[in-house]
Amino acid sequence: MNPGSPLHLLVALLAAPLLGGIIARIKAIAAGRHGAPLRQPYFDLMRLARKGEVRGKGTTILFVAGTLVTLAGALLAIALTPLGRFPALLSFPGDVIAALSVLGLGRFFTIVAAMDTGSSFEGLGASREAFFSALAEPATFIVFAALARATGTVSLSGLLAGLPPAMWHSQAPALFLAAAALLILLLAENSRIPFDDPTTHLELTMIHEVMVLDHSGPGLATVLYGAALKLWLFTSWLAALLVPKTASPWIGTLWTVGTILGVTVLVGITESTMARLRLLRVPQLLLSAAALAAVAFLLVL
Amino acid sequence: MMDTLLILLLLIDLRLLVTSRLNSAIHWAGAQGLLLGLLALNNAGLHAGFGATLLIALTIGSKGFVFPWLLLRALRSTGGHREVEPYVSANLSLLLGMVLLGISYWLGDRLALPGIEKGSLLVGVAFFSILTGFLLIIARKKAIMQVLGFLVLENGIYLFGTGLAPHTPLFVELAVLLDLLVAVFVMGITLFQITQEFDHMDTDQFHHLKE
Amino acid sequence: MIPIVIALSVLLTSAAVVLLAPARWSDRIGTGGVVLASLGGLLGAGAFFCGFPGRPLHLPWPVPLGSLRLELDALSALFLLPLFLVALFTALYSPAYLKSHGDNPDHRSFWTFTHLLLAAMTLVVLARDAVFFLIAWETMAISSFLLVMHEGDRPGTVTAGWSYLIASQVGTALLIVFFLLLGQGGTDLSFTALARAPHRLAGTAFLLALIGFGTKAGFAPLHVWLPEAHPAAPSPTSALMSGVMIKMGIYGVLRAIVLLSPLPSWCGYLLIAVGIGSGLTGVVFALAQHRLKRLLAYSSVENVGIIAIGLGLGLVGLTARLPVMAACGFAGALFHLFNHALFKSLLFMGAGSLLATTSTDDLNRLGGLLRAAPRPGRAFLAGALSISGLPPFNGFAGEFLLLFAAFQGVLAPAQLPALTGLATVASLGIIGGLALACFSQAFSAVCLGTPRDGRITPTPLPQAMVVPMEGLALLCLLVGLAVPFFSPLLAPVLDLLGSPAGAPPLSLRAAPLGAIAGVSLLSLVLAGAFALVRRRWLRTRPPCPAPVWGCGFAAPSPRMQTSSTSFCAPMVAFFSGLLKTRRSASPLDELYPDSGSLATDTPDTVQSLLIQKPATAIWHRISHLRRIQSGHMHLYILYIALMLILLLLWKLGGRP
Repeated sequence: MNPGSPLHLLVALLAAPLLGGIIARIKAIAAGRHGAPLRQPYFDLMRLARKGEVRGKGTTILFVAGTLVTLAGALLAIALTPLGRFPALLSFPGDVIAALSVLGLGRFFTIVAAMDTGSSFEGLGASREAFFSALAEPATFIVFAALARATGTVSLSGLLAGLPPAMWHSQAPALFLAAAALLILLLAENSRIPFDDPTTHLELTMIHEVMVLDHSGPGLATVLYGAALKLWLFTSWLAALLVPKTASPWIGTLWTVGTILGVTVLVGITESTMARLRLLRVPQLLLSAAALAAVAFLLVL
Repeated sequence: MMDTLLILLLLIDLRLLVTSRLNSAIHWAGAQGLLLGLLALNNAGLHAGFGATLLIALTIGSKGFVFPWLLLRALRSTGGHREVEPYVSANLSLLLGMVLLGISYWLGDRLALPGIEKGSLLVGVAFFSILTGFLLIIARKKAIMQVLGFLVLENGIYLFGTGLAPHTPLFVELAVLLDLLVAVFVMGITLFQITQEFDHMDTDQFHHLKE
Repeated sequence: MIPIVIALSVLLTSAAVVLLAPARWSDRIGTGGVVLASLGGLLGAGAFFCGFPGRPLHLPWPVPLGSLRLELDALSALFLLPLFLVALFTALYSPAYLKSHGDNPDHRSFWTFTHLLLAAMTLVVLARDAVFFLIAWETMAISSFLLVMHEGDRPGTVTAGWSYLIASQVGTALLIVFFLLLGQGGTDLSFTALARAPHRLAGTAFLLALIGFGTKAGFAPLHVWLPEAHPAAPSPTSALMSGVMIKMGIYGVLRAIVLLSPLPSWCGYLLIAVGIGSGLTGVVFALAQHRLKRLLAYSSVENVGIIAIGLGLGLVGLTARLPVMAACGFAGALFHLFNHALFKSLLFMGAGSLLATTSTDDLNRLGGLLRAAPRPGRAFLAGALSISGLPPFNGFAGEFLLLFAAFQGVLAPAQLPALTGLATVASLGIIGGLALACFSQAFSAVCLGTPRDGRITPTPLPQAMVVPMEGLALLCLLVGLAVPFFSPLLAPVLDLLGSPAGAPPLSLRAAPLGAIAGVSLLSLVLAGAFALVRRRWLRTRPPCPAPVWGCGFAAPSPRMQTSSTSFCAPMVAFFSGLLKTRRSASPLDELYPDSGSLATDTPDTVQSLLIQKPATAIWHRISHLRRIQSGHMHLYILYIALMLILLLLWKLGGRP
């Protein structure tokens, strides 16, 4: 195994909550406040882990299982994703499909955990999450299909780590469109504006927040950490698309981590400047992302 | 450079399929006209004679500024700034647009025109603009959207023209431009009259005129 | 081969014995017969894969046309496996279900027809002669029709049965034309003779076979009988029909591909288009249903569409000279077929158990059954996870192979396979996403929360119904974890399906089967590890219960939970072009309304647009002709006399 392979998992496990802190800081600066320290999510996680838990009456073991399976799914997906030029910890042809399937497993259990509470609000959020993810999944597949055709492999390690630098000269429009589509999908899957406002507390407008309303203590810490890992996953995919490939793999990894932070800043700026879409317009935006990815595919055909 | 402009034209076509705000649609159509002029400029290159440059300037002026201004004026007088429920919804239009894109791409690959190198996106994007124009005319109810669809269709034809430019004489270009100018003027005036007579521009209700 | 013949004889004898024996013994004889036959059948099929193919059987046949040829080849053996597995589990499940559900204590007709159905399906798979095949096919159709009508006193069952029979007969009619076309007017209609048909007929024959077998398999738009017949039949029969019988349609398509190969290139693309259409239609209609058995029926349409996509990918791979795509396409389709038999019968058994405990399968009225009946609930969860194609269960492996084949198409140098691969990838993505939504909400509506209709009190479920469900759930998990062991089962069938001319035979070496199993295992292990860590972490801090947030209502009622219809409402609205859902609501116009009601109903759009409307129009036009049938005898005699005179004039008028 390549010595750099476990690197991604270690870096992700340590640095994932930082991304949430960066986004919150940028939003605060945009609003004219100083904002919480960048390490605030770590303090939150540690505080929550020390607390006790409150369980809803009438929930079953699936309420708790949901959080654990989602975390496992995000972790497996990160293990399948490369960082920089190093191949991923686990890689085999077709691991794109496996990565999206384990994320789907997490989503299934999140929905089930939300419905387990027997509350109408969590069910509302679960319904929207199920629908929007069903529309986002084909778009993600089309993006990876375009990348697969451009690089000639079907493995994430080949698609993302193996993008030759010459491609940005010859296929620049296609890669740019694919990156734009992937950015929209990142915002969709991680419940960022314009799809969902992670700081709103109006039940009728929440999607992700409402599904995890009744978690507390270590359960909530698991949920937050899982969400942070998922955000890291998608930003690492986007960063791998954007970063120039250098000769030395270690420099390339540093560049990728830098780009991940840069993409996070971009997400923060998007969150601060855009407003949340009407829920009826969300399918349209997801279909537009799929259309952009399909145009990218046609350009590499 | 050429490729980027063509892709931008394609993306504007897709945007027009989805949007339902008439204001924004007119602005996008104007942007498409501007891009077309830039594309023609790029094609003509350094050895552009005075006639060609004048023509391109006229194109940019009319497609990019005059036509949108006319339509915005018509829009302001009617007051309706949103498309009513179209025959084909925005989502379905986007899906159909993707299918049409596939067809245009395939057609573009097979149609070998003199002067255009194989593998260029020009024919594909031109076909796509024509088909998008048709889709807009068929699928939308408000008359202004149909005029915009006609404009997009003419943009597609013009794109073909720029591709064949070295092989077609000047007066064909002039004819195309003149025809477009007249059409939009007539349409603009007609829109005024329609609104004055019927107080609305919903073409779906015109079938009441059948009696 | 011998164990299968023994199995067949056991089935036929047992059918006869069940009829003759007293009614109270029927359950024991019936179950015993099916179990014995299934074990024999599995033994025979297993022996084939272990290298004991057995000789073909050629028996004397008194009828002038056709012959009685039976042969076991790789395709037949692969289809016998799910057939006998599902038969085994449903036989163990049926007695308790029939006892708890129907009012009729006489189960003899049920068992007789089930035996006949199983025997007929075995013969369909083993037959190597067109006439014999058609006889077995018809027997299969008729015995399943009689089984569908078993609970004939329930409203709607009779209509469902008749619509099923009519669809089946239309399919058989086309199949007769198909076989006659291939037979070229000769008297030898064995499959070896049919395979020698001229190549120019291949396209037309394939089309005939696709429609004929597709009616049985349930491709949209030929699926209209499925959502009626499967809910109307008793649940073990629905499990058998959905799990195995519609796969006989797929078997027919595969046998046609083997007989007609090499096929023209458009056949693969047509299959993919049909598959995508069926998949999307099935899953979108499944989302709109709020009765579990109808939802499962539409889900069968979806999965048959996925299998068709796989077969189409395989054919495209063959014509485009992409051996990995062909191998993975066919293997994915066959593997998904096997998996679907397992998890669909599990889900139908779950629906049957639901009907047995609560006598309703309306998702908007149920809830909280995981706490009332944890074991069947867990098995149902396993079924829901499998059908959504998620690790670690078996559905994941089948869908992985199909997506892998589609990605191979994307990588192809030619443009048409690449565009097809893209369309397939996108379609499989959205079908999978919507299926996940559909089954997560179906499971949640049944098992989680609190019962939405307070009048429903679940009765305890007999063990005989729970154990087969758990057995199937365990089998789903094991198949998901043991994917590489299926490669030797699929390899002989891939050999049979052929490879591009001059290329080595198709193999699954390029498919990452071990990695699929590894990912499933890892996800299981990780989740388990996290559960253990969590248990240790919270050892000293037991959770304290508190009410769930319900927006501060003073008196929340279980009716306020998200119901199945409200969960699917955004998706139904999005697809409203396809789904013509009818809403009937009572208006709430006072400040404190007394009561209100809302009901939604989604008729099958294909049935109303493509069948109902034309049929009504034609009936309307033809009804004018009914005036001829006046009822007066004098007029009828007049018609006969006129016809006689006309015929005489016509025949004799030409002669000098």
